[in-house]
Amino acid sequence: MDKIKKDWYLFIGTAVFLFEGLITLLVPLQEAVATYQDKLKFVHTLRVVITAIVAFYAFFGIVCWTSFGDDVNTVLTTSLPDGLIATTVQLAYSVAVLFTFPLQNFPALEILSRASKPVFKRVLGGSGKVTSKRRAAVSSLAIVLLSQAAVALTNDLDHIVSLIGAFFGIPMAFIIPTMMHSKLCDPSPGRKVLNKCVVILGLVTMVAASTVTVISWNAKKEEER
Amino acid sequence: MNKPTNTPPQPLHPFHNKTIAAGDSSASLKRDARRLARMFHRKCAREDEESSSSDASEGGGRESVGLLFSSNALSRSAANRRGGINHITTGTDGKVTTVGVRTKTKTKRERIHEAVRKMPFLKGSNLLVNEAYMSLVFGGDGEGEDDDDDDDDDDNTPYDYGLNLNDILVDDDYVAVNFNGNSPDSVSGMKKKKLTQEPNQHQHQRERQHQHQHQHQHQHQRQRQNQDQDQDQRQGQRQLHKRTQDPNRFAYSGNNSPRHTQYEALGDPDLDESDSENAGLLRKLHGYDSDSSSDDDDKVVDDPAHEVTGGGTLTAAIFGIIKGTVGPGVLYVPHGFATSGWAFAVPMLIFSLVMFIFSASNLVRCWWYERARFLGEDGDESYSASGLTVDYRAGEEEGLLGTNSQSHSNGDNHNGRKKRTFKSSYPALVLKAFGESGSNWVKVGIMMQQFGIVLIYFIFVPKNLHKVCLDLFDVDVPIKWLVFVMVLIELPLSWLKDIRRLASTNMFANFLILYGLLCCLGFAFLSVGEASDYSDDTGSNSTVVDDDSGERNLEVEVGQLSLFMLRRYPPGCLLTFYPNFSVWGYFFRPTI
Repeated sequence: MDKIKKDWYLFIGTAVFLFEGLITLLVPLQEAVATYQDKLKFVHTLRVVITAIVAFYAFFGIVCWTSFGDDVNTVLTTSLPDGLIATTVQLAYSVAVLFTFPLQNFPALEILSRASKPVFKRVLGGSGKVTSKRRAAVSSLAIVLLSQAAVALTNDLDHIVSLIGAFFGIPMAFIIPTMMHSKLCDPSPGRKVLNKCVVILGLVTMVAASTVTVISWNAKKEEER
Repeated sequence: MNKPTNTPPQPLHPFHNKTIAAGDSSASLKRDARRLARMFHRKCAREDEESSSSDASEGGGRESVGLLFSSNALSRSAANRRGGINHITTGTDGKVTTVGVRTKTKTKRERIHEAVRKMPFLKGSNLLVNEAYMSLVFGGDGEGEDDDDDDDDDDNTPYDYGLNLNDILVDDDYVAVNFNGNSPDSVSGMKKKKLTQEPNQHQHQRERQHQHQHQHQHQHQRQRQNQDQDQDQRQGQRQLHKRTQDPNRFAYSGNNSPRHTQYEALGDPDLDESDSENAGLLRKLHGYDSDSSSDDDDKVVDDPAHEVTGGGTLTAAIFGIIKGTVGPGVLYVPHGFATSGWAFAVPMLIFSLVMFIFSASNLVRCWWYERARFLGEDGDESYSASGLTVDYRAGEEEGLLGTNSQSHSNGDNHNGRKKRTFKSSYPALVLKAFGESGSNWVKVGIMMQQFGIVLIYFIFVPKNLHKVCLDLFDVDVPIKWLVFVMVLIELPLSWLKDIRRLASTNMFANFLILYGLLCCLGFAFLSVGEASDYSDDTGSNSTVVDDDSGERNLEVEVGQLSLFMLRRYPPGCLLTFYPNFSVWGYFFRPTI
C-alpha cells in the first residue's frame, strides 16, 4: 500500500476515463426527465449519484488493490484467483463487452460514415450518398484497423486508457462545457473568471497528462526493446 | 382558454398534403408521424390542463379528428401488428383525406369492421359497414367537436360529428378508406346532437389514457417502422409515391415569416373565423400550441422525452447515469490505484469528480438557457411554429440517417435523436456556442473517444478469453487469434443501422457486468479476510501469497461465496441495475 508510485500520472487519464461517455448522455437524460420540477432537481441528483459512484470506485479500487496486490492486472478479471467462478466472471465480462461493443462503436461509426461522404464523392463519383453498403464498408475498415491496433497495443492497456482519458476525456468532459457556459449563459464576471481558471486548469492537466503518458509509454517501449 | 382573441394569420397546416405511413421508414415520414404525435400530446396536455383549471366541458372536444386519428391510431396499429391504420393522407388543409387500414382478418366485411373497430377513438361510435360503404360517426359518445376555435363563447354542448367514408379499397390484407373530408357535404352532414351518456370528465380521463398508451407504443411503432419496411405496404406505398411528388409537400418550411408569406402566396382559402371546420381545427391547434410555451411549463409533461422513457422520472435518470458510467471501466481502477498509489489516486478521483460535477452543471445550465431561449425568443405565438421549423429544417438537411447531423445530436447513439419541442444534445449545444467548426471538433472528439473505448474492448475481451482458454482447456491461444474471432463477431454487428435491436442483449450484458463486479468484490473480500487472518501488517505480502494459493481459493465453494456476497451485498444492490428498459430505449435510438 504505497502512498505514491512512480507511475502516478497514469491515473489522471484513468480517473477521467471513468466518466467514459457520461457527459454526452447528460443532455438526453436531462430531457428525458418528464416534469418540470424533476427537471430542476436533475442536476442535484446527478451530483449525488456521481459522487456515490466515485465513492464506489474508490472503495472498489482500494479493496481490490489491497487484496490482489500490486501486480493486479489492468484488466482486473484476469487477476482473479483461478477457479470456476473466476472463469465465469471472465466469460461474463467478455460476453457483456461483446454486446456493449456495437453500442459504443455506433456513434463513432455514424460520425465516420457521414464524414466520409466527400471521400465517396471524390472516389466513386455520384452524389456520394452513404448507402448501407458503403457504411458497412467504412465500419468494417474501421473495425479491422482498430483490431490491428489492438493487437499491436495489447500490453499497453493502462497507457491507452490513460491517454484516451487525458487527451479526449478532459476536453470533452471538463473544458468544453465550461467554455460553453461562459458563452451561452452570460455568467457574472466572477463566474467568468472561475470558468476561465477551470478551463486553463483543464488544458494544463490535459497537455501535461497526455505528454507524460506518451513519454513514459515511449520509454517503456524503449526498455522492452 | 382566452388566447384566440389575437390569433395570428393561420399558417399552412403542418400536415398540408402529406401521407403518413405507419410502416414507412423514410425519415421525413417518421418525422411527420412524430409531429402528429407531439401535437396530439400537446393537445391532450392542454385539455388536461383545462379540465383541471376549470370544468369547461368544451375542452373535451376533439378539435381535430384527423390528428387524433393519426397519432393515436398510427402508433397503435403499428404496435399491434395485427391490423389497424396503416397510413394517413392529408389534404391541403391538413385534413385527413385517406386512411389506409390494414388488417389480417378473413372476409372483407369482417376486415373492414374490425379495422374500424380498432380505431381507438371510435369506441362506441356508430358504425355502419356494408360491402361497399362504410359510414361512421366520429366522436362517439362523449366526444364533442367545435367548429369554431373560440371555446369561450361556445355553449358547452358536445355534439357528434359525422363524417362519411366511402371509396373503400380492399386488398388482400389491406383496406384503404377514402374520407370525404374535404367536401362541403361532410360538413353539412355533420349532425349536432346532444350527448348525455358520458360526462366530460371521463372524456378527459380517456384521453389521458390514450396519451399514455400512445407514449408506450410509440417506441414499438418506431421499431416496426424499421423492421418491416418492405412488407405489406402495397397500397400505402402507392399512395406515398403519389404524394411525394407533390410540390406542396415541403411547403411548410423556412422560418416563421416566410411561412406566412408562403401561405399568402398560395392563397390558401380563407382560414379565417368562418365556420369551416378546418379553420376551427387549425386555429385550435395553433391556439393551443401558442400558449403551450407560456404556461404549461410547470406541469405539462415534455412529451417526447416522456414518451421515450415511459416514466421519465428522476429514478429513471439515476439508472441512466449509473449505466452510463459503470462499465468495464471500473476494472481498470484497481490497477490504476496500484500504479499510482492511494495518496495520489484518491485525491485525483476527487479532483476529477469536482471537475466533472462543475462542468456537468455548466452543461445542464447551458441546456436550460437554450431551452429558455428556444421557448421564449419567438414569443408565445410563434412558439409552435418555430418549433416545427427547427424540426423541419434539421430533417431536410439530414436525410435518411436522420437526426444526427449538424444542428442536432451527432452520432452518439445515446443522444441520438433530438427534436420536437426543445430537443438538444451536447454537440447541438456546442453548435450554438461555437458554430459549425466547434461542433465538428466535438464530433471528432466523440468519435475518437468512442473508438478509443472500442479499442480498449478489443484488448479487454481477448485478454479475458485468453485466460479462460488457459484455465478451462489449458490451451494457450494467441491473442491475435482471439482478436480475429472478435472481429468476426463484431463486423456484422457493426453493420446494424438500428442498434435498438441490441437493447435486450444489452440488458443481459448489464446483469453480466453486475455479476462480474460482485464476484470481483467477493474475491477481494475473501482474500482480504484471509490476509487479515494472518496479520494486518503483512497485508500486501499475504495478498501476493494469495495468488500462489490459487489452489486453495479454488476450493472456495460456490455456496460459500454466494452466502458471503449475500451477506455483504444485500439484494438491494440489485436495484442499482434495475432493468429500466425505457431508459435503455432512450439510449438506443440512433436514427430518430
